[in-house]
Amino acid sequence: MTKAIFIFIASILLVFPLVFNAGEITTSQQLLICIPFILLFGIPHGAIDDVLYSRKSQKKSSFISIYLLIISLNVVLWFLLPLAAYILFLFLSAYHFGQSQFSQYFEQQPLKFKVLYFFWGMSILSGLTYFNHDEIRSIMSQYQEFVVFSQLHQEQLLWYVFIISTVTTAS
Amino acid sequence: MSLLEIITIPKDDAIAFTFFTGYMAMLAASIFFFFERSRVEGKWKVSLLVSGLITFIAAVHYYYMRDYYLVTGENPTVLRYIDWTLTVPLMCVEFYLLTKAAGAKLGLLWKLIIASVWMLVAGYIGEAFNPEGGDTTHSVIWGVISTLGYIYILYTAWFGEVAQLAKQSKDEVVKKGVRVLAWFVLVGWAIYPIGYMCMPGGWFNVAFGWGSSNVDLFYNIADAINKIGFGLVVYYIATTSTAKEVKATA
Repeated sequence: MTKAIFIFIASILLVFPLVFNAGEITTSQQLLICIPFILLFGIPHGAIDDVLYSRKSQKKSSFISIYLLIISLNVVLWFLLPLAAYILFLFLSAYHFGQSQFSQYFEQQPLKFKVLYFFWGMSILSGLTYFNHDEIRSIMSQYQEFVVFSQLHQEQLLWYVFIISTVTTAS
Repeated sequence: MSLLEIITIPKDDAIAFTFFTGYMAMLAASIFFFFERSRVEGKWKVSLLVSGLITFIAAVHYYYMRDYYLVTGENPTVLRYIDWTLTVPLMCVEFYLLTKAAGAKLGLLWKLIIASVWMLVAGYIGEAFNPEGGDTTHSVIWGVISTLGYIYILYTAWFGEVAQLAKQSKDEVVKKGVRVLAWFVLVGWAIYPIGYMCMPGGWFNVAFGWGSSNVDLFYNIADAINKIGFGLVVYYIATTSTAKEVKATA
């Protein structure tokens, strides 16, 4: 058992019964619970990238320039091809979720680990979207710009992605 | 008026069956550990004695529990917790004894004992003092408090002091044995919260309708696996290590 899996098990054991006992939790209550975690873990997790890079390499300036360049390209892509940018964002997020979950395999090169990262992340993302379909639909209906993404949020498509990615991860 | 009543064991009552087999298995294991004590080197004798005590204490409690269950048809909750309050801290003593050679201090022993008693007392309050019919809030709160003790022991066995000491140990058998015992804590001990959550008010009870009749079966199976299995791992460590040392000195 790795430390990541230990934290996962401990969190499930402690949080699961509380969640089941809490009944219906409104979206604003969920936000209140999540804000401390976003501030304490989420933002530092993203902001630490340059520190991690500088541990391996001395050239900090090149990291920041490349980082800013990629961000700029990404912004341009979102303006020009929003659907492609959204798909790219989902794919990268899925891969990154898997990378974080299986950090013990981080140095492993074989393709099977990269496939595992990707499908694990896809399983989580599609599962979250499928099981909270109504909430996703209400968020997506708030802005006209989001209409273009709706074809990716069809219930049947999400279900297939969820099943395929979960089965692939398990096998 | 007869003082003794003959009660038949129902053929299809798996709980009664496992109460009887559990009792006999625990007693047989105790005799085995006590007798085998003479075969191992001095430093392992206390470990085997503790293994024998764990199964013996459980055997005595099972002797009473099987009768209590047959007569009343109810869960012998109080007897179970008296048994666990004695045997679970003793299992933690085994961790200390195994890692003592690698430098385990008395503080580790006390920390593990306190964590295990914490886990059991909170579990007992959650299970035995749950209001009639079952109150989920009571069950969940005490279940979570109890789980904190379990998580502490799990962490100590896998990453904390016990794991670090086992890593430092020169004896490969101890390293391997402590890892197997850590698996017992992770998988074997996990059956107890499942049993707890089947009690009225527990969320398995609420969500899936699993009732108190499932609890005793879960607990009986878990006890047999954990207590006898735990002792057998200690026995394996003691005999293998003794054989190695005999070979080295020969």
